[in-house]
Amino acid sequence: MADVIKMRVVLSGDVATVKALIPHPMETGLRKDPISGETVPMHFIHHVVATHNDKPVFDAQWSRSVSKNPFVEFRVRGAKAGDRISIMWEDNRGATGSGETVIK
Amino acid sequence: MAAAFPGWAAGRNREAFDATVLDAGLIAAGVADAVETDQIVLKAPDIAENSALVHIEIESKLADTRSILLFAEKNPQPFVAQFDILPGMDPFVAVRIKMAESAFLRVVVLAGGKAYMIRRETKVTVGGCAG
Repeated sequence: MADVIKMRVVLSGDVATVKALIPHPMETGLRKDPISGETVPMHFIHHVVATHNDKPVFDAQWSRSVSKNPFVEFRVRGAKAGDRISIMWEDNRGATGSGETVIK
Repeated sequence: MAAAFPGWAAGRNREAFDATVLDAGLIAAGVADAVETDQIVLKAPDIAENSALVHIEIESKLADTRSILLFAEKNPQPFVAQFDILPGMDPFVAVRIKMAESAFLRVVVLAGGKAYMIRRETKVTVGGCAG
């Protein structure tokens, strides 16, 4: 996927609040294409990991019930300007994506 | 399944995620006996205007919070997500989810080797899982 993960980080003291939007269709497998009438196959992110300077901060399993273009917000402790926050994902078809931002 | 990135935990509790009724999902996840607590904050709308985009915030005040599990009790597969919280992260997470119909949302927190839970109802006007 060429689409870029949008990440915004606000540093307050040593706590970095991270908000991210991950471009992905997150198809449930229940939706019908309005034009063809065909059921759109299930296609969703099922594994997400976020890291702080390459150290994992959460490891998440998701279902198809997470919204399209998933939003996730989390808070990292012990953060400072210049640190890197990364998000990596894998979907049920084995496709992967990642994004990284540097705390300002 | 091989991990997509080095160092990833490969485990996914498929039985829990595939469960089509809440009780089976809770049992498969090992959290059917979670104790209700007011030490988990679950923020969700009373009425969701867009059932495909329901904003949820979860915060645990329990010491040694290791995992946050979210269930939408009447979704086709109720187990929505599990966040394993690692050292360095606050026990807080916000996500947006789809809800098939008005239902209770249930959050289970694994902390100090025990399971705790809280639930609250969110009403939706139109089903979201098809959209």
